[in-house]
Amino acid sequence: MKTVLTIALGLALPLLAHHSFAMFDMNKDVTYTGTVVEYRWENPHSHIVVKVEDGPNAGTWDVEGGSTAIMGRQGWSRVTFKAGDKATLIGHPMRDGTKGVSLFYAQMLDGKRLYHDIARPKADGAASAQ
Amino acid sequence: MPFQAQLQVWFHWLQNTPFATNIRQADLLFPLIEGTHILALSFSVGLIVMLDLRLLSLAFRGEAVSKVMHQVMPWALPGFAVMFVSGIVLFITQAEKAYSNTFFRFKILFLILAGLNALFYQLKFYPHMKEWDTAPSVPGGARLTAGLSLFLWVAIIALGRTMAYEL
Repeated sequence: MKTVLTIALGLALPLLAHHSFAMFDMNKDVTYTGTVVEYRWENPHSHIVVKVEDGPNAGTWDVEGGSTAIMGRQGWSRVTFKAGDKATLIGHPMRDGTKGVSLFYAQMLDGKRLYHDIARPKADGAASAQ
Repeated sequence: MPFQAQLQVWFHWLQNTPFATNIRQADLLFPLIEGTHILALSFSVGLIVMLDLRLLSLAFRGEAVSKVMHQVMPWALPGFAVMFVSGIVLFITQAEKAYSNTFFRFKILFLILAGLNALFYQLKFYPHMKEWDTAPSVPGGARLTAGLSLFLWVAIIALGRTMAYEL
């Protein structure tokens, strides 16, 4: 019993300084153009991992979307992207600077936008994030 | 390899097994299991709260503690089993992410404490229940375990909900 407790405490303590949960800066819309490294169509959140070659956003970003049902209603599917595809994703970056992003929408080559979730139009034709 | 790194590797493997991947990629399985996990709370925690309230003399004061316990446990224990199994499955589908989540770690810690607390009650107070079974007020120690149980379960549910909002 003491061992279990020691292990549990051991697991809990090192991460007391982990990042907070006010994760994304929803006021920032950042464009990430690059190559899809991984497209994970899954629950509870889909993910598009995209590698941006250069510019201020160079690096590999984990862009998080919604559940398959929520994104399915916005026109997404399990074949929307595959590894190696070019992608332009607009999203809200993590506040703490780690390479995580909350998906806003994907700008498709045919001019269509695939949104993360139900979103309302902004004046410039994009949609606002709730 | 240090213990934590080993766990990380193992949880990475676990969440990428076909079992875990299939649940994540199906449209309905994940929400169904998640819903089952939450609904089972009403049977397990909901009923444990009833017993705790009796021990704290805040409800069912006219009823013997043993009576409340024997009414509640046949529903609470299967409820707990369903909650436990569905919880394990949910964990498997996102083991690595859950493991690195601070709220999840505290949830597991609190679950262990709740288990030890229940075990302590069972060993220390349950055998002597006859002595105070029908008294409106139960021994201070038993009341303390009931209060601790209430606190731990509220915290466990809150931590479980909160972990979903951290990446």
